Amino acid sequence: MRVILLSCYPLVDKLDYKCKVLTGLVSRKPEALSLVYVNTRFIDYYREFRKRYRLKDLFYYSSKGKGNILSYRSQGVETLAEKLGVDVLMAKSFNKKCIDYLSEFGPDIIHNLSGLYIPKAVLRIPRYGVIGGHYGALPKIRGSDTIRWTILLNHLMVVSHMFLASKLDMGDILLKMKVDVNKGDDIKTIRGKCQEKNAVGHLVVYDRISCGILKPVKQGRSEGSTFFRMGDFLRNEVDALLVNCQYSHYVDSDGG
Amino acid sequence: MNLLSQKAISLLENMDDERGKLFSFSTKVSNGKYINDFNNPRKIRYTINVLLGLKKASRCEEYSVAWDVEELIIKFIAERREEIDNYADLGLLLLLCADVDRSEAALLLRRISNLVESSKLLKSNLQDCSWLLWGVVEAVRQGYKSAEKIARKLFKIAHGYFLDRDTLIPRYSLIWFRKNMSSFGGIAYFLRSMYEYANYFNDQYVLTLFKESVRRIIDFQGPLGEWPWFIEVDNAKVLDWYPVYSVHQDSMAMLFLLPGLSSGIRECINSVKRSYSWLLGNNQIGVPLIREKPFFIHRSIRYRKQWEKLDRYSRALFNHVTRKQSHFAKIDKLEINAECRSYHLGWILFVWADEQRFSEFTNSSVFR
Repeated sequence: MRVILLSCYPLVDKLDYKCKVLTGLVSRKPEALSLVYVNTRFIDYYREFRKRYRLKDLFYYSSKGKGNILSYRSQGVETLAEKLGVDVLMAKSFNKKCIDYLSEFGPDIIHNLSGLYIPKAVLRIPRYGVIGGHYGALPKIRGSDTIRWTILLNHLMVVSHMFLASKLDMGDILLKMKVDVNKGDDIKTIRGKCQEKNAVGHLVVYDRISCGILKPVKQGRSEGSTFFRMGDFLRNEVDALLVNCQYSHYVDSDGG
Repeated sequence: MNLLSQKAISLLENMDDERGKLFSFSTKVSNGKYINDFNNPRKIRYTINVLLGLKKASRCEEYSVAWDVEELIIKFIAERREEIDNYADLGLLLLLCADVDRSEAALLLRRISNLVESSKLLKSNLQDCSWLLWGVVEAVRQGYKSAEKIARKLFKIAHGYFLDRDTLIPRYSLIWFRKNMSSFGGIAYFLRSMYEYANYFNDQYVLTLFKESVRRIIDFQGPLGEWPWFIEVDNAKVLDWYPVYSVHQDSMAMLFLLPGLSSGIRECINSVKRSYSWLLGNNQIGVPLIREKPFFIHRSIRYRKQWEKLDRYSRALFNHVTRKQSHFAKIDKLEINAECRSYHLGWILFVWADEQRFSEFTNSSVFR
């Protein structure tokens, strides 16, 4: 198998689960493996920061003693890739250079760990498709802030993997895995658990494709809804639900 | 049909203009007789509202009024088409005629489509956007193929520009000086249009937003069930309570409370009861706003001031700038606004004509 691992913002790319996907793939000894970074310019970092965090969010999180929002490790994914002998490409965006490199590489699959929107030109390149993880039960819950929406709606916490499509979260579903939520977990902890499952899911999908036993399931538009960024009022409500253990799907629950 | 709806129809029979089948802008009672005022262009909007209510009532089994409502609607549109250019009115008109006059509805959809394609809607207000969305969703429901795309675009505008997702309160206008002040009427229409959209498209995201927003707005209800007139968006607080309108209490609040109840929000039951009880005398001045002989519903409880409208805007602005909480006025500073607007009766019919729940209100002895 020829495999591309897609990520972004290399300077801050230190998430544990991405390292797990990388080491997992290396241990499976694919025919070729390459790590491709996009959004590597300073302006991309700035834009992402502006999109993700508002000034008041920083105060919000620091005042609640939640520290940083994502869990980092000291060793970056890029450094790990170099140690493991994996080629790394730095691209400013999905520009011609990037697309030419990907086409020339001729991947069977691309694992998308960037969380970015993948343009059609890239989606068409791999033999099987671009695989992405989604922290919500597809097809019901699409879009963003899906961990919070799942808790608010009192649904089972699930990580889904799919072949990415041009329409957001509308690709064929490849795998769904339940995430264990324990009493006392906050959003950060649950997100960490989802990331763990995401890493496992990417490797399971890889294995299934290698063995030829992958069974993609199509999803229709009307089978689910697209959720958007959750506002402060509902965020506080979700935090309160977790603090008061009012989520119904705890693994250690006696009925919740 | 319940007694409230029957009374509303009989009052409307005294509020129409025989020549053009328009309904009055304002009506008062003097010496036991109804005095109508047709000297305001708003009578066109009010007539659409009334026809919407009559249409709903005419489809109830025991309806017994001389008007042929569908014929009234067709005649009204034919005669008044050129006068209707307000965005909100276009939406309400589409809601009215989508299942009555298909050719007119198709024309309206084309006008609305052009409007949505331009950026004009961003200069409009919450009521415009909400009524347009409501009307277009009704058109989708009636099978107009082009309407679905327009509905999705309108929802995108309503959700993306008007709704403040941090507080779950929609902004009435996007103009800087009005951006942070929302009125109860706009909120009620917005919530109803969200519900219609969520319900038709089976969109769980929109339905969740609707339900959470309804819970949010219920929190604003006053100690005697009154709905505030002006709400600050960013800080989610009441900017001014007055006037407290009867139409908000007995019907416009029901535009979102009754669907809220159907969607499983239990808090709506108490909210509905407190809302209509205000009208029956459980209000600050302890007087029912319903007059029994001749039947009449007074418009509001308001400040007793000469420049009442200017005064309330100044009060709201003052509370906004100084970040003060609005307080209830002393009883001696309040009065009843003894007029009735025809659209109020339109909403009563729209909400209550076919409603089986809360019959203790709709068949109350005051309506006998």
